[in-house]
Amino acid sequence: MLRWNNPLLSKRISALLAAIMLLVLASACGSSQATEPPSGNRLAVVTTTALLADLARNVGGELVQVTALVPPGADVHSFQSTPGDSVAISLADLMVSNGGDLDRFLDPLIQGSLSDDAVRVVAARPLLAAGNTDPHFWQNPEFTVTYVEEIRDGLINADPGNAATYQANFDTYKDRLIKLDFDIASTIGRVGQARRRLITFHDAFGHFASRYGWKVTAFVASDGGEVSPGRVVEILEEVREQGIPAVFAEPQFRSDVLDNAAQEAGVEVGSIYSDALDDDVTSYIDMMLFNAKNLARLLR
Amino acid sequence: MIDLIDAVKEPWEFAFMQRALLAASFAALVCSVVGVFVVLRGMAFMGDAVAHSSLAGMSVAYFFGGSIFWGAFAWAVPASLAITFISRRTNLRLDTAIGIIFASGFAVGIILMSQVNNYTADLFGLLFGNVLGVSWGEVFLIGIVAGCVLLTITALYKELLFTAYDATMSAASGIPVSFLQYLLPLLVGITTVASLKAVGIVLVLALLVTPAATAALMARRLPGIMTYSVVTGLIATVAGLYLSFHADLPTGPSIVVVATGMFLAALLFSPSRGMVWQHWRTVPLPSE
Amino acid sequence: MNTKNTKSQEETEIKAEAGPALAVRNLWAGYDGKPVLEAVSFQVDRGDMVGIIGPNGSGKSTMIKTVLGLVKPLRGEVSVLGSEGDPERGLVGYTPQTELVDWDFPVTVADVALMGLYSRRGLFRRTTKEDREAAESALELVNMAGLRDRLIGELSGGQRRRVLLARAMAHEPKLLLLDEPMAGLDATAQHQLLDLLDELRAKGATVVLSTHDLSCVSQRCDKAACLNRRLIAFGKPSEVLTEQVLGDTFGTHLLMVHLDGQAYAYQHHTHTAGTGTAGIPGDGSPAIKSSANTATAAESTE
Repeated sequence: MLRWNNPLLSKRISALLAAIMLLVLASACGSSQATEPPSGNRLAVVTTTALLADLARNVGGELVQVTALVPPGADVHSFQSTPGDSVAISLADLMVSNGGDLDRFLDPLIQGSLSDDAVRVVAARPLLAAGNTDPHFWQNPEFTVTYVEEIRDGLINADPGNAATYQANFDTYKDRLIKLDFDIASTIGRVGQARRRLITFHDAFGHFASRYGWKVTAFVASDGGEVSPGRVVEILEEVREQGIPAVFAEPQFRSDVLDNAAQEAGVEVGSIYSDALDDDVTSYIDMMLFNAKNLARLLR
Repeated sequence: MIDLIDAVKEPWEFAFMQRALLAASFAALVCSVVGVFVVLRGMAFMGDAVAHSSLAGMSVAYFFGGSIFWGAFAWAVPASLAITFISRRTNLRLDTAIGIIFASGFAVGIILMSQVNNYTADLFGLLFGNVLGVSWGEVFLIGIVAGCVLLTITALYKELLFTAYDATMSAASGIPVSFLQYLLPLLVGITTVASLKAVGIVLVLALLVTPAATAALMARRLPGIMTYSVVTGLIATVAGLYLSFHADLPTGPSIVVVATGMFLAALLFSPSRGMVWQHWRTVPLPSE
Repeated sequence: MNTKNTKSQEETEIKAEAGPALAVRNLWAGYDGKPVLEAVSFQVDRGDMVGIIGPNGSGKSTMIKTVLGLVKPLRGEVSVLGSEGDPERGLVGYTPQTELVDWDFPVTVADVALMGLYSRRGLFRRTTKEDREAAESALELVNMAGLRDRLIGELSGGQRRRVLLARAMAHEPKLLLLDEPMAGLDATAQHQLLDLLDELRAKGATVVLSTHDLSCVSQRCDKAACLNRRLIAFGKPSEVLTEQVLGDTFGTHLLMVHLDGQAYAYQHHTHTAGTGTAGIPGDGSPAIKSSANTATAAESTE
């Protein structure tokens, strides 16, 4: 009669456990869809955010295969990377990041995996070099042109043979950005001078405000920081005194603080996008137009 | 079959996976050994507290641009000594001392981090760690620290064992019990810091406790428990990395999930203490 | 009252090699500066077995810990085997109260016995083959060698006690300090333990034990120390265990038991009548027997 704490048996059971582990692993392998290798001989471009991916697609066109590390709709601020991301980085011909505080947390990941022959672009580099620290530059379409210039240079660097195509795509997209700038200005131009106040949770709209002559007030100075009580009181008073009919929240920050404050002040909470694209708003230009229309509708 | 071999080989073709494997294995190794003492002495909460409180040290380092690792280290050492000191020198219980250190360090950390611009992303980085972003320098550092902790434990094994088992008697035998009672929490603290890069503040507790708890179900004597703990920790690391790579899941949590799976398997099927066998072995009482 | 040591007449084969096995002079000791023991003085001759009796909180464990050097004297001095200050670790063996030991700890009987030899090897050193052999023979002596691979958690009360004893004597100490070695043992196990202690004494060891069991002290010990923070009496059990001394030692506790009800105390008395205080010559008044046994009952139920 075998005893269950027989050492031989205990070894066999350990082996069994190991076998089960392997099976679990093997089944996980079967369903693996970590990364799609770049199809054909298209240039592999990896960007940190979905927004940068949209810009890269517009400049690269059919010649590039673009992957964003932070998927559309996800928030940069609470992102957990997976090996698939590192694999994508290691296979990239061109790596595009925003720069500044926005995606600095991905730098170790990028430095650890990017191959030596890959081209690295920090889209906001010229703007950051000018001493501006708010990394949400794209809220001003003029600055987005700078981003796109950087991306174009990166693409040409990585794939000099197609330089002419990249330049042509760039020219087309630049025209669209200039038109976007004009459209935004005319849309929100309908809002009266006194009502040009954007009250939002997270301070990502500084460049938007200075471009179009708005005043922005945010609950938190830094990205997604903790709210201090004094700031809430201050903003509530401002909303009441100025008779502002709406405050704005980004879909990826469902902020209780903002909701409660708005309810207390009896004002509406509108949607505004800072940096995360999602199923409703799929491109940079759509996002900016969506924001402008919402501001105009709720504040007019 | 070729698919399977590819699946086994593929992850290690990437340098970042090799570094992740080394860093996580060093962390798992030292955690599994120290974890045995943690589980036996009921110090789990202490490891967790040191991890959370070292957010303060990491934040200071982050804020002033120093090394996160040494920031955490510089905080963890006094924090673990302070926990022991408070509980030994006052009439407060150990869990109370732990609670104070735990929360205060974490609070200081959050205040400092809220002054950083990209608060949430950076905080998430510290809380959850990211072994995929580990550099060769950091791998080396984790290895050195883990090696020092393991050397200390090997050198003082019999004293640590005796003191953990029966402090009064071991003091009566002339073993420097006070020193060891400060040393063990210190080793737990240092181990925690060494593992932060692999699994982050929130999950380091799992790496510290789960392999040792699994081992306690599998083996009866301390050397056996140590062996099983190390084996469990290393298997969880390797399997967790495979799971993370092939199913494209975050790495630290994958390791923890595999370790937990192994714990559950041991709970059910352990040869001596498995619930399944115990159920089977129960001799039915004669019917009346 | 006899608080002075009287020289033992019977034990002639053990000579005083270099003074007494243990000398305590005007000892004040306690915790956080608050004395538990006050002005305690006595002397234990080599080869003797001394029983310390007293109610809970009377300082029995403190006494033993002070001798071990675990508690520093506030005043006075303790000299162990002729040496002042910290005792030489290798010469003293100790068993703590069983309830203070973590019996769930994953070590075997052999591991525990081996721990008794850790003091021989300094820090950073591994135990040797000789150490393992010494541990093994200690286990044989306490009749536990057959269970050497058992986990300590699987042992019975008497077996646990014997493992602790094996650990205490594995390095062949000259002085054995046993904190409540009888607690939780049935009569047979108690007698086996006491026989074992006699064997050790025959090899030259001196034994100091604390206990609640008056019969053990009166029947088997050479000296009794009646302790209630102060040393009430010290000397041969037959001379020391008087109504007066026991009243002074256990006095307040007896009152409480009487309040609880006479019936309980009386019943217990009849139950242990056979072993009671039979060893005390010329002093068998029912009041004392009852008191003594009641005290035993009251202590052991705490």
